[in-house]
Amino acid sequence: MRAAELSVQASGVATAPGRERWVLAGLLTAPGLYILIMAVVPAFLMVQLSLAHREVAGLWSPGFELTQYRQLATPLFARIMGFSLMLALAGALICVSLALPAAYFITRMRRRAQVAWLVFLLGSLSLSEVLIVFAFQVLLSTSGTLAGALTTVGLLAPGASLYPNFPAVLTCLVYLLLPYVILFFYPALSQLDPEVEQAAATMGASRLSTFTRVVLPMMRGQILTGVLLVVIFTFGAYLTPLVLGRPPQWTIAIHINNAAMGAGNLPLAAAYAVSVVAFMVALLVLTRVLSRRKASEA
Amino acid sequence: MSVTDQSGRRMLSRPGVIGRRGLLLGAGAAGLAMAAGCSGATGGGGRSLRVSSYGGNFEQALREHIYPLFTEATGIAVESIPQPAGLQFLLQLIEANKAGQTPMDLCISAPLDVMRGNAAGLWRAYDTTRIPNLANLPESYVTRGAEGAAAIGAVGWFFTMVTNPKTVSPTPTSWTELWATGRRNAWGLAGTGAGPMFEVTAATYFDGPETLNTEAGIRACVSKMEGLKPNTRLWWESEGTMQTALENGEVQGGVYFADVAETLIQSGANLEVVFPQEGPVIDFGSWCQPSASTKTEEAHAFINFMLSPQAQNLIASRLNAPPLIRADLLTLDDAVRAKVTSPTPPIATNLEARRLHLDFMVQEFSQMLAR
Repeated sequence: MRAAELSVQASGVATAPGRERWVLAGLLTAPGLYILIMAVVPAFLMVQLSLAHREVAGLWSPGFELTQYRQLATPLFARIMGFSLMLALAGALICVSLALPAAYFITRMRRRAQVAWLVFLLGSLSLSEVLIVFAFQVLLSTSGTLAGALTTVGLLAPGASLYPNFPAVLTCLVYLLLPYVILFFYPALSQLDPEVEQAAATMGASRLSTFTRVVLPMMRGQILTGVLLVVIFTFGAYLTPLVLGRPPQWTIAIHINNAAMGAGNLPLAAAYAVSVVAFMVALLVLTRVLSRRKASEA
Repeated sequence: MSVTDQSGRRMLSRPGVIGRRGLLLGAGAAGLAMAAGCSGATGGGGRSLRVSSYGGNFEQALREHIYPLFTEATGIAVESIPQPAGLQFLLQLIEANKAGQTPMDLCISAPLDVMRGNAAGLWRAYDTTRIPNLANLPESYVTRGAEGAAAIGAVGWFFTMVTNPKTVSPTPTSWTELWATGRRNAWGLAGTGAGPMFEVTAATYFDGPETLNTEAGIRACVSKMEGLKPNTRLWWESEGTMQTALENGEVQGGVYFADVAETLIQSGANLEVVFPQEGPVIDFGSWCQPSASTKTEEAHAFINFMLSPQAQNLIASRLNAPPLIRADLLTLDDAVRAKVTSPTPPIATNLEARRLHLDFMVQEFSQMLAR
């Protein structure tokens, strides 16, 4: 909105506020309709399916029952959700704590080096997740480079391999998400006024304490959003835990697929999915409330 | 194709051609098959039939070695379509059938999908009087719906023990080897929710697959399977994953499709196919005709041909798969016979247990794995 006002002023054309509203409405129609058709309608259908009647010897029939939601009241479901959340938080913590300093140092480089880094990061995003996950599988396998090297220096028993396990899953997820998070922090960090840091330096602060006591607090909002970004991505992780993890490390996405495509129990899969969406929305609301309270305290 | 196979039905294209890339193709392959079918031109203007079967070696062998003989005998041209196995395929087929535009006239379907298709009114019932060779097929391979025979057995497949002779020696003789204490992290086992591990466990430690008819029996089997966890490095859901693990030496062996293992051996993999004394688990695919397909005459002729000893002999020698017709009708040489028949009777997949308790089996199994 503000950008629109600015551009209008800049071009020197006086526009009535009424007309501007119409233009804005026109511009928002297409994405609005797209979201309505592609997100709201499927979400409604998903809720409807989750309430349908499951036919064990068939697929499902229309109905309105809570059978599948009752099935979620098992230790298994709590365990899966707990694990998915733990994985997501661990991934977010590692990603953010690696990405923030990385993005900070990139913004403090010469222009050319910055461009090179950005091109490199964007380039790494163009690799498919599937390729990366299978590359990790090869790297970590018994006959792989890394396991081979570790075996040679005696850190790994011959024939042992570095997957499937939790660290393999986490490492690969961090690798997949790190470029996104660095690119997410980059604009905000590059817009930080250098004079703020210079002022801190004048007052005798070291570079480290400038970063931790000046830059980080100014980035608090972005950090929170970055954490949420990774949490949302990781919570839905599918291929990485499937290929690099064992069944206890299977995320909710794998269980949804197993229920739907394996057992053919689509109502149960839909109930899982609805619960995940509800959980994510609750998490976002909670974060918003907490950050508002923090802001009003400050 | 899907990444999973949870119910003992084949859910993946054959990995011989597609391998791990199989994981990527997913619904894409299904869409492709549908699109291929809709374009549906067989050319020539003569009689024709569009037949889909599991893509990869399987479809290729049928197309190259068996269908031409059918065309020669009947003058009916066959358009062979690779078919992804899995629920997406069935769901798409149900929709296409409702719209009156099925991409094929006949497809191969695993027992659970036959059942699901039946419930959805997907399959056309055959006129069995038009299929004289049906007399060659044991009745257990014919699935009857409300209106008659809806699915007729096409080809069988064994889930059996596959080992790497370099690391597993001497060759095991019993399924109990999977539970043996010296085999920590050795195996790749079917991680599918209601898959063949149920039959293996029930036949090895309980009263056979009938054990699975009750919830108590299912619980007992699942708690016995708990003992497999320390020995299992990979709970595979897709053929491709297990294939990679076998080839890379990530696993010393495990449970796998006998026919795929034979194909891997033929292409140089150091593997041994073992038929344990309790028997391999046998499952099978059936020919099914979506009701929107109108080529009943051609379909009857095709199924009749596929049930002939000539076609079934070729299924054994070219697909490495167990033929389904009565053994006395077959003429197999000893080498082929050894690959496609088990010295002890195979363990039949208990479909009734799936019909009654599928969700319970999947739930108990998933809980056991996730613990």
